Amino acid sequence: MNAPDRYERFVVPEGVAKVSYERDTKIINAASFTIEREDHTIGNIVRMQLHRDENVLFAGYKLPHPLKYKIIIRIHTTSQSSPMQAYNQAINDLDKELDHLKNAFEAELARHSGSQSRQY
Amino acid sequence: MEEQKTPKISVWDLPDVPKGKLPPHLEIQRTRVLCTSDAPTHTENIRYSGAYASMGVDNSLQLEHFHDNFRLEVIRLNEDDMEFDMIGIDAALANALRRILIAELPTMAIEKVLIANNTSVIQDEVLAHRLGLIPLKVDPRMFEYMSENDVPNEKNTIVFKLHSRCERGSSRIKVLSNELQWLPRGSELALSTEKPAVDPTSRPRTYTSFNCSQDSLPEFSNNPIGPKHADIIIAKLGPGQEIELEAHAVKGMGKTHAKWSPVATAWYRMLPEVVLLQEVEGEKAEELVKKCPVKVFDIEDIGKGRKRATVARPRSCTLCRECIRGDDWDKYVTLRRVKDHFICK
Repeated sequence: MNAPDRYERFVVPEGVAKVSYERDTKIINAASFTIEREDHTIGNIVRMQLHRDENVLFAGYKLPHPLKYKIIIRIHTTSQSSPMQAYNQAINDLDKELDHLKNAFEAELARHSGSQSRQY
Repeated sequence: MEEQKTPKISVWDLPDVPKGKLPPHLEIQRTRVLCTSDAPTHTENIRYSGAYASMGVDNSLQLEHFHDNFRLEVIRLNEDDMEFDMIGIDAALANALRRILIAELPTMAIEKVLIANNTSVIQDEVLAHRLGLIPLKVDPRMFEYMSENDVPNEKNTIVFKLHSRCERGSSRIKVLSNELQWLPRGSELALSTEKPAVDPTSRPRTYTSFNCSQDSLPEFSNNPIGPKHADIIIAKLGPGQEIELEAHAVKGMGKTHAKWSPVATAWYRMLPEVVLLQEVEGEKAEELVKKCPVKVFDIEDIGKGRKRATVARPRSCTLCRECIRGDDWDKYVTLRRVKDHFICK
């Protein structure tokens, strides 16, 4: 009865921004990003990539409620870089890593089956 | 910078630790999960780049490291299943891959069922549910998503028809999935709002408006669309019962409903590593080999009639911990898992 429609999990309604940004007033170089209609699949990966950055002091994500489909990522950085920069850098790095993974996978499949590789 | 783990050894006697690497016990902590008989320990990933800063070891991951260390090996590839290994990635990536495989890959499945006649014992909605779960052999990339406002046309819908009856006087029949016939020209049922056509030559409007027959696309004319397995039982009919319906299949993702999930399941586990701390010889070796239910250990002869146990197939270890049950076995065998080697199935 209370559960929202299943397509709400990934369809962003009109007028709602996919990613929004709020600076933290009390701590410098800290911000929260709210991403609509995403879940642990993206949140965990971005968090992991942010941890690998040496300028990031704190990185975490949470789902405020499992029936409201959005995640909040909180980032604190040193004064060397800003949360916005760290976030962008993390996403770009992830993009490249996943591209590399996809290429390696396709190469491996082609090698293994010896015929045209399937795309996953 | 060397830690003294055991007392009474002077600092000058400790082995040199090469700069830039961790001493072996910390390296084990970082890269392996220790599975003791109570619970696994050191399960967290020490991904924080500043960890081990005091030892002078840089833990942050650069893109080049990833390029160098990452390896992927396909172990087995059949039409229906696949097993492959990913080495050098993080648990979060493996989990994300698993979640995406289950939920976010699009497929086609039957969504709307228009029932003209159903006198069987299976209720309408149960029959529709069963039809939705049947896997269809069609490439979802040829189709587009359909939202509620769209008109069903040949780019986003596949239409099937099922008409089956059991004659009076014969025994029960099973309705199998190969009786679902593909209609490449679209729906044949006329819309109920149509008044009887004045002009008998014009075609009445049906539930779908196909502009051209799907048969004309080259991919479909050679391999017709149908269910993947022909022997799925949809319903059973007794004498005198009949089912006549039309089913429309659309594109969707597993997130919306599990019928659109392309995999039966997808899982991953970390590579197990079984290490013998001391030499296990003779009768103890035989006992060890017998203990393991998946036969991880093997006997090897080292001359003079003595036998020794070796680890032959660590990959098949299911971590049942049989080999460390009982007293004293802890000293001989440790079970560990390699943290960045994932076996995915």
